[in-house]
Amino acid sequence: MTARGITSGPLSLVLALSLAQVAIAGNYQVDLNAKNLVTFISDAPIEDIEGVTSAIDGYVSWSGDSLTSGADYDSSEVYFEVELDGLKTGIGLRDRHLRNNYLETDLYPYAFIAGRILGVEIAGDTSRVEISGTFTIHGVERPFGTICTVVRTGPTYHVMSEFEVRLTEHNIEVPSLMFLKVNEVISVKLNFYLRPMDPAE
Amino acid sequence: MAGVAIALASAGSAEGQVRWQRGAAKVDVGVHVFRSTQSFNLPTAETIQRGNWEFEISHRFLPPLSSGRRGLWGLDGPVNMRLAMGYAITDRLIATLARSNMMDNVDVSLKVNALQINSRVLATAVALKTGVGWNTEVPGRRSEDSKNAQYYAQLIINTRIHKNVAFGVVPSYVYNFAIFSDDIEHSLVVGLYSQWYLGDLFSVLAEWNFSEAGFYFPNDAISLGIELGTGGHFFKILVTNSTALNPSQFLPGTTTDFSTDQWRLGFNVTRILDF
Repeated sequence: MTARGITSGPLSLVLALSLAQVAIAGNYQVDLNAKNLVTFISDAPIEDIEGVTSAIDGYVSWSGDSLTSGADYDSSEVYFEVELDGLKTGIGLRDRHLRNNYLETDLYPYAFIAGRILGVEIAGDTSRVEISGTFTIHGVERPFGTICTVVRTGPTYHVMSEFEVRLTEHNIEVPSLMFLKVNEVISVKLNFYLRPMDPAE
Repeated sequence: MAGVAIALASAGSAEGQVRWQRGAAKVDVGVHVFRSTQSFNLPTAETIQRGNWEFEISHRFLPPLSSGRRGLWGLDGPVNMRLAMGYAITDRLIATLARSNMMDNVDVSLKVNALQINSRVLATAVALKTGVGWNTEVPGRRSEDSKNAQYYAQLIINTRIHKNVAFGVVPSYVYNFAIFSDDIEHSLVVGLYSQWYLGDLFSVLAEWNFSEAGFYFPNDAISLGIELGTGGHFFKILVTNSTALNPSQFLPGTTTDFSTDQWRLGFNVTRILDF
């Protein structure tokens, strides 16, 4: 809601300010205390390799009170990053190979999504939020879009999304397992929680 | 006035009107100087992830390379061999059971990665290993004879002296290194090894074990060769003058010198398993 329509007097200015604060209430950041999980899955002929981490951080902002009230998303912002050093595949040596040889995390420590909200479709407590922008991993940025399922639980939002990353598009060498290549398409699953952002000073 | 716009300075975010800062501290991946948990015959400070297992099979071919084509340069055998299985109790503690066919030596050991110094200049890891080697098939003796039991303790200091060059010093102590002597003999030994990593897969490794076991084992054990590391496997191929494998038998030294006609072929294969 905006303060449009109230045009005169000091009271109206106060009202305008308080409504403007409500107008910027759409600022949420990843709740680092929640059970966040990012999973990278690769289907390989011999075995499926799953890398998991909870090291996801970032924020979403939009002008509007609630994500699901049909607010205006033109100036919305989405930014989520995953710290790749946090990825665990179950075998420590394999994690080290992933970090040093394939993802080169000393050069490119984060994989991140940057963009905006395109639109929201509400279905009861659940919403489908379409985001669009770029996805960067291994220092290579590619156009990106996905649809997130968002469930409001009190003051927080539970966000879930699934999308695919093609390793070769990001200059990532495709690892081979016993001489057979791992699938070059990695399935990524995000499962994290957003909480209201700490207010700005 | 309608619609007061509040522009917020951005801190930590790429662009835009929102103030957000990265919340958590960076993930600590630990200090790893060497890639494998062992050089040819000595331990490195490396351990493996809690719950993982490490399987090892190693051979030292008894006939020397100089025995030529008829014996396939030693590959026809006979061979001293070692089978081992290690289990990571924690990320820094590994317990290993090993058996070598040399007097059927059964070895039980514990290695703990005690200290990691994350320095840009000299990244260092320090570990301790201790074990007991029981020779269960000794000619002329019952296997339960206490003179068959050997003990050892090692301090392992690993440093990366260059981005791709790792260096290790392993002072070791062996109790009862000469099981056929009348007395209990002690030995202090200093092992040195250095590995030059030439890429993701391939590296060269040299190891020299300085020992002072005099009468029984007059020569230092020296090994040279290469290592191939893939995700999960390490293959080492070496030439050496020592055909002993388990620590209580290897550390005191060897009876053969390191001249080229005494070189023996050997290999070590280790594999990380996750059940």
